[in-house]
Parts: sequence; C-alpha cells; structure tokens
Amino acid sequence: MRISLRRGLTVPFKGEPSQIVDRNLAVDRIGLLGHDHGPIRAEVLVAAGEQVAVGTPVYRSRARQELLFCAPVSGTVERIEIGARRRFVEMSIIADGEDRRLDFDTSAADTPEGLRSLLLASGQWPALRARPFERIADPDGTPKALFVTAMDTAPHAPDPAPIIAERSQDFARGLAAMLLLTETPVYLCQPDIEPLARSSEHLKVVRFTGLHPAGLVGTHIARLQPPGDGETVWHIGYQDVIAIGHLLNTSRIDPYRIVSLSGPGVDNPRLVQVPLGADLHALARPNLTPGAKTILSGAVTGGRESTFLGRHDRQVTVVPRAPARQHHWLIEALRRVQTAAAFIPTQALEQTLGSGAPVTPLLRALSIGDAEAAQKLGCLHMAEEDLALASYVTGGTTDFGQKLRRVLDELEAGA
Amino acid sequence: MMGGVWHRDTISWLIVAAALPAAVAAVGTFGPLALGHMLLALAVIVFWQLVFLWSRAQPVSPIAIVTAIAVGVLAPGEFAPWQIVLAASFGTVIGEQVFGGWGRNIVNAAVAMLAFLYFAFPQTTIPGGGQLLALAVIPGALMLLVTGVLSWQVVLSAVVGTITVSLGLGENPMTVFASGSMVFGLVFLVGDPVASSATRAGRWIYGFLAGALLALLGWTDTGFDGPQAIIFACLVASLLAPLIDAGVIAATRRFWRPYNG
Amino acid sequence: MKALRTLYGPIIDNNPVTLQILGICSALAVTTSLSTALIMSVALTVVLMAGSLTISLIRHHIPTSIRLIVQITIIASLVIVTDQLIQAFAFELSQRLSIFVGLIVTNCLVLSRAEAFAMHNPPGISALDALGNGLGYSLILMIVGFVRELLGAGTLFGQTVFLSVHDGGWFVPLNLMLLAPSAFFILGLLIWVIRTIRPAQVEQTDFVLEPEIGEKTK
Repeated sequence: MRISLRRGLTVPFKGEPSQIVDRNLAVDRIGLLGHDHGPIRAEVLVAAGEQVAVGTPVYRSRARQELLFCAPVSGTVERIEIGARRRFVEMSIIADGEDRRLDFDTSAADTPEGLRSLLLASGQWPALRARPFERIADPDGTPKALFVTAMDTAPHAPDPAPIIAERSQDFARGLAAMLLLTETPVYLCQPDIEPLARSSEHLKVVRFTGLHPAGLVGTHIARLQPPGDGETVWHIGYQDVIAIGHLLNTSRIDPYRIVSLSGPGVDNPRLVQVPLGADLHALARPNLTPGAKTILSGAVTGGRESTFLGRHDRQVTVVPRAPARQHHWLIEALRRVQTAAAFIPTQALEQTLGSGAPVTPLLRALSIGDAEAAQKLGCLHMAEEDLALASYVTGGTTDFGQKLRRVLDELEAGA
Repeated sequence: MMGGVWHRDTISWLIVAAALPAAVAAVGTFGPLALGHMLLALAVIVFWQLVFLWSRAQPVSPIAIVTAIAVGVLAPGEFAPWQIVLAASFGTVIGEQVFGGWGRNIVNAAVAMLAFLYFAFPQTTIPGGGQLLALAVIPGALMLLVTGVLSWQVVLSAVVGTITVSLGLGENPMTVFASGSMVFGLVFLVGDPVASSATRAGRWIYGFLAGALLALLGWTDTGFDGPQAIIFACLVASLLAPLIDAGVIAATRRFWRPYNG
Repeated sequence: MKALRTLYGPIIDNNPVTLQILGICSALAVTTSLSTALIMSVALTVVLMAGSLTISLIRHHIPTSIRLIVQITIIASLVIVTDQLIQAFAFELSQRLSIFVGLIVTNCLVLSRAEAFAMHNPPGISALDALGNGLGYSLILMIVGFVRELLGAGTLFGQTVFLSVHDGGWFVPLNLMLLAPSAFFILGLLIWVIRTIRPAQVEQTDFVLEPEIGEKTK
C-alpha cells in the first residue's frame, strides 16, 4: 500500500549531517529523564554511589510493579532526583567504560505472555507508547493496531534504511516479536523504497511519500487507523525494534542508538552511535563552532533544550544562542508583560498537519484550552511532536505542543 | 523554541510593504487630502493601540499602517478631521482592540472604520480609484500570494463570484476590475488572513460570497457604485465567515478518517 | 430595609437592560428622541407595576400549569388600556411610538418580573420591585435617548441645543445616531463603563488564554 501525502514543508536549515556513523564516541555520563514517559510515580531501586550494569533495574513504577526501567550503561549512580508526589524527575549515571551487560532469560519469549514479561523485566517496555494521550502502553491492554515507524522526515534526521539494512537480522527478529505481541494488525510505515519486510495478513507494509510531517507516527495513525472511542493504538520506533530483536537473539540489552548530531553550531555534522540518555553537552563540546550555543534534544522543530538525550529522540541539534540584547528598561518590561501575539493563518500553516483536519480551528481551540472543540477536530491521535511544525511555522513564540498536552491531560482526566 | 519567519509582526510588515505602492498611487490619484486622512487615521490608531497596551498589555502591531492606508484609499472624500478621528477610533477600538489586537478580530478594522464612516456621513461622495491604483496593487498582491499570506483560494473565488454575478446582471465585469478601489479592497480587505474563513473549503465559499455581494451591491442603474459596495460586501462576508467554517467542519468531519484500502 | 434594597437594586446593580440584557428591542427603537423615550419609560413602568401588583394579589389562585397564559392575559389587557390612554391624551407622540407601546406585551422584562418575583412575593414588595425595575429601565432609556437625540439632531426634548448647519449653525448632525446600530453601540459602551466601575457584574469567561512557562514575546 502506498500513501502519498500532498501537504508538507521542508524546513531549510544549515548543518545537514553526513550519513556516516561515527562509533568511536565515548560517553562518560548518561541521564534518565522522567519527562520522557509522562508522570510516573516511581520507586527507586538503587542508591547514589551504587554500581550498576547494563540492564540493572534502577527504578520501577509504583502502580505497575513489573514495569521496570533499566540502566543503559554500566557504572556508578551519581544523582537521583524525585519531584513532588514521588514523580521521577532525573537520574544520572557515570559510565566506567566497561560494558558489563546482564543476561536475561529469553526461553519463554515465544509466547505472548512470556514476551511481555521479558520486555517488562528488561526495561524495553517503555519503548511502546499508546495513543491517545501518548503514555507508556498498558502491559495488560490490547491495542487496536500497532505501528512500527521506520521512517523519519524531520530536518536532519538519520536515514532509517541503511541502519535497518545493517542490522537486518535484529530488525526481522524484533518485527516478529511485535507480531507475536498482539493479534491486531501491525503496520510497518516506511519510506517509498523496497519493502523492509514481507506483507502478510497480519503485517501490513505501508509506504509513505511526502514532506515532513509525513514521517510522524501521528500522520500514519490518522491516515490508517485513528483510535475510536475507548480504543488505543500503540507505536514503536525502528531502532527500538532492532534493540528488542537484539535482546531476543543475544539475551542482552542493546542500549545504543544512532542519532544525528547536526545544526549550524556543529563543525562536523554526522551520525553518532551513543547510549540512551547520553550527556549532550559532553557529546557536542568537541565539535562546536565558536559562539554561545543552545543544544536541543530532538529536531529543530520541537526539540527541547536538555542536558541528556531524550528516550525517544534520534537527533541532537545545536543552534547558535541569540545574544541577550540590553534594551531600555521600559521596553523590556513591556515586552515581558505583553500577552502573546496571536498566530496568523498563512498558506504555510495549512501544510503542517498530517491528518486532513483544518489547522486554524484546531490551533485556536488549543490556544484557549477548549478540550471539547479540540477533540471534535481530532486531537486525540496526536502528540506534541505533531504540532511542532505548526509551532515552528508560526514563529516559535507559542508552543502548541504544550497546549496540546494540557488539553490531553484534561481529556484523560475526564475520560 | 526555535521559530520560522511567520510571526505575526513579520507578516504585518510584509502586508505593509505590499500596500505601500497602493498608498503612493492613491495620493497621486486623489491628492494631498488622501495623505492627510491616512496620517490622521494612523495617529488615532496608534493612540488607541498604546491605550490598550497600557490597560490590557496587548502588543502593538504595524498593521495600523495598512488600516490607515485603507482609509486613505477608500475614503478620500471631503471628510472633516473630527469625522475621521471618530471613525478611526470606532474602527480600531470596537473592530480590533477589544478582541485582543490583530489576529483575534472578527472583522477587519479598516472595514469597520469605513462602514462607520459611510453610515454616519452618507452625504459625502467618495470617488473610486482609477486604473493607476489598480495597477499599483498588483505587485503587492503577487508578493503576498507568493509568500502565502494572501490565500489564492479567496482571491480566485472572489473574482469568479464577481464575474458570475456581473454577467448574470448583464453587465461588464471588467469595469469592476478597472476600478482601483475594488482591487485594493479585494486584496487587502477581503483577503485579510484573519477575518476570512479558516478552513480550506470555507475560503472558497467566503471568497465567492464576497465577490458575489460586491457585484450585487455595486451595480446600479447608473453604472458601478464604488467603494461602498466593497466595504459592505467584505463586512457581510467576514461576519458570515465563522458560520461558513462551522458548516464546513460539520459537513466534512467524516472525511478526515483514513483511506479505505 | 429589604424594601429599599428591592427598590434601588435594579437601578444599577441588577439593571434589567445592562445586566440581565432584557428589553433591548424597545430600547433601540424609541430612543431617537427623549420625549418618546420618556413616554415609553412611563408606560412600561406603569404596566410593570400594575401587572406585578395584580398578579401578586391573585398569585395563590393561579394554577401552575396555566400561569404563563394568565400572566400574559393580564399584561396584555393592561397594555391595551395604556395604549388607549396615550392615544387619547398624547396623540402625536402615540403616532411616533407607533407599535412599540403595544409591543410592551412581548417585552421579556415584564413577563420575567411577573414570573420570577410577583408569583412568589406579597403585593407590596412586588410593586416595589416592579417600580425599581421600571426605574432602571427608564434610566437606561433616558441615557441612550439623551445621547442619540443630542448627537443626532442637536435637540433635547425638541428644544434646540446645538444649532445645526441646516439652520445656519455649526453643528453637523450625526446621521448614524438615528439608525438602530447606534443604540447598540451606545448600550455596549454604557455596559462597558458600568462593568468597569462595578467589576462584580462581569461574567465568568469559559476559557482563558493562558501564558506559558518561559514563553518568549518577540
């Protein structure tokens, strides 16, 4: 099946990365961020100063004791931060350079229940996310469909095809695991190239062509199987599928991901292989061009300024930081208290939404927090990343992703 | 957050740049009276923007210049200064500022201003612009079309609407497009991105409605009427724009569902 | 004390036109001059008082299922009587008011005071409430009529205040004031002023434009 999307935009941006992977980067510090998974009430299983190996569970969810989160490097736990109401905020681990990995028991992984417990125990389950509301998938739940996203159209994103071709055995094994996990249709969403797997009754390979946001899973969900009333759909990225395949083939976790290090602030933009949660400042520092910089985890559209790589981010973008100009105190004061300027509907804005829904009414409903109108216009299948392009196009002063998150939280509480 | 160029202020400067040739042509056609009206209207609008900045922290916007230019182009007649001040105050306060500034208004501030002027002082005649003004609007219109600020759907459907109704009434549509005031109104008032419909299908309907009303209201026994037709056509169309949007959304909701197969 | 509150409450704090937004139609139509506005105010106040008093007197005997019909019948009869009285003693003004005295029957203010207050309260206090509402309505009508007549014709109660250009003076009458939209604008501005002085009257908004954490303004 081939779906061609007419609406999309190219984001012109300097610092295109070369597609050669640099595997020689040593990362000596990683961080696990609570922001990546939504509000989780955590029970921390290690203490500061303790030694961990790759795969050691470091914290788990209080509500679901089997949902474990594991360390991606071996080393010493440096710092643990828990926020209000036991919400997990951040944990940093200093890597010791040795790559000690724990072994997991994969013998029971050929049944759906065994596979689920393996994924939960090895910390791979948080790779599966559910929509609506974009949370970690419910381990007891059944989705309406499962989406494997094997394409990425964000500006400067790594090209999935060579990465998958290099690890084709792991990818095939991971895909088979996804087929085992659920009986509902599994959609493999890929660019318009040779199919990465064979289509069958259960696995549907769908090729998408078009500019960004054609590669976002929100677009795929809207076009193929938007969740109806009370339904959920799950999605997972291709690199996480490769990691699951690796776990099933070798009984060990693969904590490495290939991310692009790019942007006008880097003098040698390229792909790098780093563990999850790598320290971005240390990663980027050897390659920075002169001048103050902002380091974003994620693409230039929708990236967050962060010390560590996000769990689901596959890009690091470095942009120059605008110097703080001193204006007259009255002008500064006025600028600070002014209400935000409204966005103006332009033809560019019409191209930013992957589903066919009208953009301007949706953005207006989100701006005022009108959850009911937003739901009618189809916001349930979306996450913050789907509106990143719209925020970028309207000048970047209003974060529609944040407004969407507020509306989704309201809908989730009311549901 | 990183941002592209289409911030509200960038767009307003773009529209200002597009309207400047028309302003020069209007001063050339109508004389220094038009320039006086423009500057007076600009002063009043800026005053009220500053009042609302002070009392409600609303950011000021350069779109005031375009509104002032519209007053000069479409109301260059013998209006007394106090009449311009009253109309400009009404238009900017009631038409734009109480809603939260440009970007949050329902009708274009210039349309509100000019409608007030025409209703309150109907005895003053308003000359329509000639071909020079019409030609001066074209480069600005092209720039706005290329940058995507002016929606081509609105322009095209308005032209089609005007031509259809004009032919239906047995008149020559080219008379309409030879009048500079009409072309200016079509591009800058009917094509205002904020006051027009927000959905894609809605834009076609809104544009057609504005064009059809323009022809319907403008053609009289003695020829084509002039600026009053475009102002009232634009007023009615932009008041109906939210209704058109609601209708379009209700009618097309099921088409956002996936393809079958 | 409660009686006094009932009387002056509806004048500003609970004004039927500016807070409850009732009776707008006649407020637009008859305020082109002060004399018609005055006659209308008096007519409405009289009908309101007489109607509320009557309904309050018989309130325990009206069956609930047909109470609206009974109220309308009483009010309609009173309006017809009032209309006849105005035609008899002020014929020229009655011509200018044309159908609007008759339309007091449809004025939601009259029925709402009857249904909401007179049906549940003794006659004395009902009459006071009717008088208060009538005075509140009259106040708004007089203010709007004042502005419209002064700016639209330069006269007050028919007496020239500003000499218009048609008679060789300086004042250019504002034609807009003789049209209905001007009454809406004046009413809107009046409501704005009242709610600025009495912020308690401002309604709760459904949605608020919230600022974001760390939002930049360019």
